[in-house]
Amino acid sequence: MAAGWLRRLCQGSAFPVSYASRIMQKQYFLPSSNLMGARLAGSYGDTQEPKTNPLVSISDEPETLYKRLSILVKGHDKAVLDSYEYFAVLAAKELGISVEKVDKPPKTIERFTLLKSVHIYKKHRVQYEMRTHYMCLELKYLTSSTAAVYLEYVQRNLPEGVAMEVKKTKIEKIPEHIQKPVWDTLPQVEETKVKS
Amino acid sequence: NLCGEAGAAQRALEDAFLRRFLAGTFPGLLADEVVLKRRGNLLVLCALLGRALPPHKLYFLLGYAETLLGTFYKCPVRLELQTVPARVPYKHL
Repeated sequence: MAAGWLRRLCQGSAFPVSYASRIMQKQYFLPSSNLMGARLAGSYGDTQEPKTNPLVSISDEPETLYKRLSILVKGHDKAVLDSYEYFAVLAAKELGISVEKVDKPPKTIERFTLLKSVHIYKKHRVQYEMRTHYMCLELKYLTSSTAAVYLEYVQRNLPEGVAMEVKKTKIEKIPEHIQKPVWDTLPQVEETKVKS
Repeated sequence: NLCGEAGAAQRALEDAFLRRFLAGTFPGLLADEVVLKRRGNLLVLCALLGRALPPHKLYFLLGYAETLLGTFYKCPVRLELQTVPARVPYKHL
């Protein structure tokens, strides 16, 4: 009913139908459904339940720990990488993550030589090069949730096209069967071997 | 085409197609070359146009180009247009 009325309204104007009608349909359906729910169930339920944010999840599992999180950023423009480094270091400090070091490996230049002319003139060539600058950011001692939050924030604000990101993480965990040496726990097996 | 990253040829082909497509949808209106930006999956096209067409036609072409390119490349496409009274002359010294 509402959808048909909206479509007729939209088709009268010169605006594109697909764009506006879809957005307006979404906006108009919500108030009608809320009103219907309120009449049927009553407004008591929402006020008495504690409000929990659906985006925040609390779990009792022990979190995986990362000893070092290294982020390598590549780009064509050094100024863009410098500004991105300032931004990433500031974000880490605000979140309380300790920065181990900020490394700047030397740039790599890929060059190739082509013929300048379409047909002949072998002696006259043109040279092109592509420069890639790097910046390596290393962070110390993170939990998995902290790493997830920081990486998502930093990756959403990656500059367009110029900087690419490669992430390496190191996990520290000691499995239970390695914690004690084997010769302390199994003396009986050794005695039988000596006898035979 | 960064060192160690793949997909340079596909991006170059996409760029060529996008420039031709925009030159076709806005015939004779492009004042300068289209600036293409990629942030993750999002593709942002920034174009400078002249003021030959009325605004509601420009909005229609904007929506048309965005939806068509979005269905072609299966990624969100945003087209940012700006109208300029006259072409900006560049001088190479």
